[in-house]
Amino acid sequence: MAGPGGSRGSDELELRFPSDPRYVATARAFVEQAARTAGLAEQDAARIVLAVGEAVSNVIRHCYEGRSDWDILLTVVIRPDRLELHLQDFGRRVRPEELRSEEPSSEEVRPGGLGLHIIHEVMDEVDLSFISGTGNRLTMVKFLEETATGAVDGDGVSGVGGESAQGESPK
Amino acid sequence: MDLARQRTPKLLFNLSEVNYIDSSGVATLVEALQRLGDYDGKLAIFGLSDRAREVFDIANLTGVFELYETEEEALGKM
Repeated sequence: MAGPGGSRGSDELELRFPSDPRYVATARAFVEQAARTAGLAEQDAARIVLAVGEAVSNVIRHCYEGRSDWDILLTVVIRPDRLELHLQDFGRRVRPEELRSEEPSSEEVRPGGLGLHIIHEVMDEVDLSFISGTGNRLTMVKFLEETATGAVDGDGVSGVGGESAQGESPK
Repeated sequence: MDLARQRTPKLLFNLSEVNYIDSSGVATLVEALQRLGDYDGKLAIFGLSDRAREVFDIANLTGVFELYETEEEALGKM
């Protein structure tokens, strides 16, 4: 982290909030403002807000099994070429096979599956890892538009990481 | 869902005051659509904001629901 007056390659914003559904809107507003500050257009920011809302709801529903008195840590990292969103919970480990992204049809829609589908549709990279002694960490990345400085859009890549004591997801 | 259980032939949802809808809200609408389909009932939605419509677009559900701009338009088509 840069000290006072130091140059930054990125800006990091953090929001820690209770797993009460009332605060999902707070998390969305936090992300929307950060995304607009990063230079995203309103529609793109709204899509990211949607993805974050789904991710937070999934934490409350699946990781915390509905409990409203645990913490959720949301970190937004604004980099020159990307927006990173890290969602850290402190609950039970969610295994990748429990989270199936489903493109919905009129025959069957499961809220959890649709939420993941939305996250994968909106974000360019999605990675889930488990940090021993802590909890699940969902990382979502949105590459920013190509700018005059030459930042380039990335291709969408989805991955699911395994357990790691250091919190690094194996690729 | 109570209306579906009562086999209400037509349901029209006014979402003009809905600022935000997520997957659980959409799933509820899909469930309602499925229930009405069981007895050939009709379901339509009007007044979707751009943001709400985006959710339907991402979920590839815009072709599944009858979506209208206004109540008048919806009632005229149902």
